[in-house]
Amino acid sequence: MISLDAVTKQYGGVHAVKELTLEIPERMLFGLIGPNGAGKTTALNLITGLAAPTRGTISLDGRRLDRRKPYEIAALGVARTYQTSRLFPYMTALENVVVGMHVHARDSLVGQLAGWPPAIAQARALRTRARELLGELGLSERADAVARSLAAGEQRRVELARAIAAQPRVLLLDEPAAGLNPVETERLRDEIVRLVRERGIGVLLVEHDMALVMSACERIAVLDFGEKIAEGSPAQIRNDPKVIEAYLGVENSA
Amino acid sequence: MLIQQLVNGLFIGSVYALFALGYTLIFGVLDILNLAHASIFMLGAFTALVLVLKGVPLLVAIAGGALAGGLLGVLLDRVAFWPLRRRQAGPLAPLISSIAVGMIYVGAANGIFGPDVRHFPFDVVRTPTITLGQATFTLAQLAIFLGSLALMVALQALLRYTRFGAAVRAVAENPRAAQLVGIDLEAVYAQTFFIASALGAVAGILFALNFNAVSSVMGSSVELKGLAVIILGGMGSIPGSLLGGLLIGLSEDLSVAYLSSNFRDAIVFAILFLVLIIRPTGLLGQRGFRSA
Amino acid sequence: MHELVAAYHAHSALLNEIGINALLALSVWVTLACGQLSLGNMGFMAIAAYASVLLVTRGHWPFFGAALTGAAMAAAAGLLLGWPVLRLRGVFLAIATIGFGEIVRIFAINLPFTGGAEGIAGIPQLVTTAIIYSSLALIAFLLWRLTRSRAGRAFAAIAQDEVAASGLGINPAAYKLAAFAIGAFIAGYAGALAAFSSFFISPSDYSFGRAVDVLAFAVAGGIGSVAGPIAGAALLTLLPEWLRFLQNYRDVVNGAILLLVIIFLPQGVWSIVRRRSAR
Ligand SMILES: Nc1ncnc2c1ncn2[C@@H]1O[C@H](COP(=O)(O)OP(=O)(O)OP(=O)(O)O)[C@@H](O)[C@H]1O
Ligand SMILES: [Mg+2]
Repeated sequence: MISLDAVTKQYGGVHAVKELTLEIPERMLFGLIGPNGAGKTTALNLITGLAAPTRGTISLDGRRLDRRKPYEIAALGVARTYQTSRLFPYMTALENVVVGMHVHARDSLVGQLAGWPPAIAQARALRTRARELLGELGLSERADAVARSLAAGEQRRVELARAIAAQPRVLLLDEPAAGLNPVETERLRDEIVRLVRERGIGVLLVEHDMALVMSACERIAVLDFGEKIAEGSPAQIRNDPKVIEAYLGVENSA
Repeated sequence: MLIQQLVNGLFIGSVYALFALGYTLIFGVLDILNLAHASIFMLGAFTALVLVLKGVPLLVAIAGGALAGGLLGVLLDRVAFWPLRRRQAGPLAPLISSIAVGMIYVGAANGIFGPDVRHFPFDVVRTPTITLGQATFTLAQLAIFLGSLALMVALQALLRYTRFGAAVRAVAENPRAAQLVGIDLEAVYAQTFFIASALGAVAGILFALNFNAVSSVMGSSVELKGLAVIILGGMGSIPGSLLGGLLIGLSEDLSVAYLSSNFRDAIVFAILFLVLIIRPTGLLGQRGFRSA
Repeated sequence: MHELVAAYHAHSALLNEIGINALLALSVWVTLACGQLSLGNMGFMAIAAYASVLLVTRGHWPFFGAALTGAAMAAAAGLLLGWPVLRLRGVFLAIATIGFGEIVRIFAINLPFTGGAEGIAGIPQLVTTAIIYSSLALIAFLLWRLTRSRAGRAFAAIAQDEVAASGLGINPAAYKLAAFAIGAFIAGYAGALAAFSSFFISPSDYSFGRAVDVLAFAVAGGIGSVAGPIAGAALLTLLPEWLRFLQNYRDVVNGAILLLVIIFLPQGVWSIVRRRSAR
């Protein structure tokens, strides 16, 4: 569904992403891993239009994404979360999720201005749905809390809820488990797996937590210094000597 | 005629540049647009006037005005910006609180000196005229021009070659990192306000001497031009302020001479607007004092 | 009897001024709600004021037709100004809009049909206190509904995190332009109301100082809700009247009160009212 074809992104002399070719099929939980600075976030930024590729093309079902604006890409069904949470800090959790529904919301401005009942009912329906979504992620009690007052783990889940609310076809998650404890991570994994099974969303999961990636993903690509050094099933990745080397190198220096 | 206009433009432009330095310094270090700056410009002029009327020699009076301006700047920082820094308020609140202090300062001048225009004694401002080729100017104008330039060069040297300058640049670059290496942020902020405001006050005194007029509303004639100067020259750049000030001064005088005096200010603001759209970093914005 | 009439006139003028200032405060509030600090609203006010006055006095238009046309012209100017400055942020945007406001004012001084620095006198008094306050009520209501709508949510999202907003399908440029146009329309309409509730207009009515005052109304009142700017406009318009006895020192106390509000009431004066009623 999403394909990157020989995509390169250069920042000055740095090749943040180099000749990256990826194919993320529909309804798949696809893992993207790699050491720090490997270019994972850059890859997500390229897909969502926050950065423009230096070379190469990106497409969604054959439609070119590169050179489109971020909001156009989002409207085509690509949603994401960010490595450091980007919730709207002064909105409540619920309001954040309602904004997530922007593309599909149909509470027309004129109807709202005139106080036309169907428009108001629409707006209420959005809030109800948002509340349900937060409930599914175990955030019922926190729905009316202001985003910046939420704990880090809660912020991540609200951000996930906001992205799901956009009813995307592809969801890009940038290290959603960072800073979560093992119990929360377990829970997050179940939620992501459920997203793929029940909603049929394709997920591109960027993650440092190996256990999570290995147990959740069907297919995994590994980046190192911007280049893809391996791709395959979890079992293949686990035994790939290049991957082991890339990670051992990091662990030795750490 | 042209030469004379150029000379006039340079004189007034150097005062604009000196005034605008205060905006640029405070914006560069604290990311704040200080709308009280024009009121300090005005109070500096009043202080010097009062001192001169008391019989103090002019140069001492200028120093006194600078000192008063600097202290008013530190006071401004303490009452208007420090409380907001502590609670990490957004960019809007400091803008309004600086307006409030500006109101207080202008109001105080109104209360103390009344709304009328005051003048320096004639024998203080009367200086011999100099004729160089086709241009005629007074010794005072020349002194104003050279004095402004000297202050700007001194400031640039201060920022570039002293420990204090290094601290200011570090804070401008990244306050948190500066604090980690042991720089006292609050001290740097206070010193920045002192210097910026003292320069603003001197600009006010020179401006008042040039036109021999001091009034509580004199700040409003430069506050927007000062903004045009820093935008044209590049926000946060000292050479930029100088260049911007001189260009604005020149464009004013030339547009009066060759276009129409009515649209003089429109040309200044049209330049301002175009620079913002075409090159928001200004002419010298890339070489700001953060990297001086 | 004469004194009574005079007192009424004095107060109705003040009442009118409060209403018009409230509209102006709402006009900056709209752009602030979308994350943009615009100080060009005096320019929009001037465009609509001069246009509507000329349409009525020379073209013999009815007041509302002229006022709405003037406001629409201001909105068009808002789009024209908003487009090139889209990529400017914060202080830079504010300075660009200041430049625009000053250019409009200088043109008002120098164009052949605006009456120069003296302005235009003898404007018929077509606007009553009732017209001003019903306009204010309608516009405040519509803005309040706007905050509850999809567009209003998009405004808030853009103001709080433009990148995250665009990642959710919100087109920041379109909404920012809309905010500019709405703000310009309201400022323009307020300009027409102001022109026809006083006998004359002149370029000095549209100075930078006034733009700054209007911003202070909105921020001191509180930009978190529609009521805030209205409350701020009322308080800061009345304050100088109450402080008249201080004569030349008036601005010292006026400024001090504004300073206290900004420092001690981060959410504006309206937050006091809200907290009281929440108890
Ligand atoms: N906007 C940018 N400007 C300059 N360099 C950048 C930029 N964004 C990323 N880089 C560089 O590109 C490289 C890849 O960065 P990226 O953030 O994509 O890595 P990552 O795999 O997400 O790392 P991490 O695991 O630490 O999040 C790094 O060397 C980084 O410094
Ligand atoms: Mg990353």
